[in-house]
Amino acid sequence: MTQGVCFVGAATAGIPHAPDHTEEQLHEIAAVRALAQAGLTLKDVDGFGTISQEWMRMPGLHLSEVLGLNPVWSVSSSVGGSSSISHVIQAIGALQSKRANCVLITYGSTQFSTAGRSLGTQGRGPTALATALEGRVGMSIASAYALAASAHNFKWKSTPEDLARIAVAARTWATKHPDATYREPISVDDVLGSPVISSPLHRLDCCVVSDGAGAVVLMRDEDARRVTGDPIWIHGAGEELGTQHISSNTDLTVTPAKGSATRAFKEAKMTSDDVSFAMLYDSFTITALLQLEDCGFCEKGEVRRFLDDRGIGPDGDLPINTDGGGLSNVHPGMRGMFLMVEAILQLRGDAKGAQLKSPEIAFINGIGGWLSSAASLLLSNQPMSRTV
Amino acid sequence: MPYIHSLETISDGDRAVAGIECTRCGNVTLFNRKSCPACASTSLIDRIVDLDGIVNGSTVVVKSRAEPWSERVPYGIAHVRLRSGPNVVAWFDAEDTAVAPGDCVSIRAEDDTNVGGINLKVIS
Repeated sequence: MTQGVCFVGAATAGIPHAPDHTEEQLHEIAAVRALAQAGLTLKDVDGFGTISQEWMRMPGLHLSEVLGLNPVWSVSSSVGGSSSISHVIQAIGALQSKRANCVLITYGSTQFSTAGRSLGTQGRGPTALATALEGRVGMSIASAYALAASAHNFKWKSTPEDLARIAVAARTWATKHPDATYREPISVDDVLGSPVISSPLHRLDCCVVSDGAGAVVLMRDEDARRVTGDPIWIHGAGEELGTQHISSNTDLTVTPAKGSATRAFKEAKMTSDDVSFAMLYDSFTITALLQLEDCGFCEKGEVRRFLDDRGIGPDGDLPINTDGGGLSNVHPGMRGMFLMVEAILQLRGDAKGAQLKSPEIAFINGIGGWLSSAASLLLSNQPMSRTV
Repeated sequence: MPYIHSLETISDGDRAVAGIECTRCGNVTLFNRKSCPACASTSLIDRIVDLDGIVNGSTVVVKSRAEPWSERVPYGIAHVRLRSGPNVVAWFDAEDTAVAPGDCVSIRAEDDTNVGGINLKVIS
C-alpha cells in the first residue's frame, strides 16, 4: 500500500531560535532547501501539505499563496503533533493515484520567539474549551502527560528514574548535534533534581520550547530515481486516533501508537527486530516510554529492563532520537516533521549530528494532542521490503 | 471531554452532573449524545451521575501559567474513573489533600467563579 513512494528531500530551518523570521519565512526556507536536494524548485510542486498552530483556519491556502504554489492536491488536517506524518501518509495515496507528482509537506513555528519557554505550563485559553470542565481544573499539557506518568508508575511500576534515563539518552545524542537547543551533558540526578513542573515530571522530563521548521518532498519511485541518487523508500505506514481529551482516555498507559505501529510493521512485513533506529515523539519522557512499549520494542512494564539490556543512547543497541529529540534538540509545537527529517538524513548518511553506521531501517512514530493520535512510518534506503 | 452534559442545581447550593444513560445496555456518557456510544440505541434518559470513583492518575502542579491557577500552586489534578462508568478530571488542594492512583475518592461539583463556572473538586 505504500509501495513505490519515496522521499527525495528533507531539510530544516530556524532551529532552535529564529527571532528575526516570520513563520512563513521558516516554511519557505525549509521548503526551498528540501527541494534543492533533488534539483527541484517550488515551481515543480503540484501537491502540498502543511499545518500551523498560528493559522488554524485554512493554513494550506495561506501558505500556498505565500509560497506561490498552485497545487492540484493538498492536505492541512490537524491531529496535533503527528500531523506532518499523517500528511505524508495521505500523500502516498495521492502519488500512487497520480493525483500529484511532486508533493511538498512543511511545518514551522516561531513559538519560542513569540511565547517563550513556559509555553507548556499554560492552561487552555479562553476558547470554546473553557466551557469544558477539563479547562477549569488548571490542566496544562504538562499536567496531562504527568497524569499518564503517574498512572504508568502505579500500574506498571515504572519510576521517575526510568523516565530520567530517557532524558539523559536524548541529551547525550544532543551533545553531538550542532543545532540542538541544549547540548550540555546531564545525569539522572540532574533530571530528578530539576524543578518539578507537575509531578512526577520534572523540568528535564519536558521537551524544549523552540522555533523551527522542516520540509520533506515526496515522489513516485520512478521520478525519485530520476532526480536523486539516494531516495528513501516508504515501506509501511499506519495511523490511529484516540481521544482528544485526556479525561476521555480510558487507559492512560496505552497510546494510539499501539495500533499505528502494528499497521506499519504489518504493511512493511517487518518487526521491531528489523529496525536500525527509531524516532519517537518525545514531548515528555513518558511519551517516549509509552511508545517503546506500544510500538513493540519491549513489553508493558519492561522499559527498565530494556534500557538495561539494550539501551537507547549512542552506546545502546537501539538508537532512539539520534538528533537529541524534542527533549533536547527541537520542539516547535509539533515535532512530527523533525522525526522524519532526522530519519531521512540518517538513512542517507547526511546526519547533522551523530551519524549512525550504515542504518537501513528507520521506524518513526508521532504522537499528537494529549496522547490523542499516532502516525507511524517505516523507511529504508533500500527499495525492497523485507520478509518476516 | 467530557464536555459535561449539564450541571444542574438539585437544591440550593448543591450542584450535580447530569449524564445520559442508555436504557438498553446501561452505558453512561457525559457527552450530549442522541445515540448510545456503546450499543447505538436511541433509548436514552438523563441521569444524575454519582461522583465517586477510583483514581487512575494524579499530579501535583507546581508550575502553572494558567489564571487563576498560577496563584493556587501547588494544586492537584486527578483523573478519576467514576463508578458509573465515565472518566472525569477534578482538582484538589494539594496542601491538605493527598490523592494517589488507586485511591477511592469523592468529587463535588461546586461553584468556582474564578474559573468561569462550576468545577469538579476532589473532597476526600
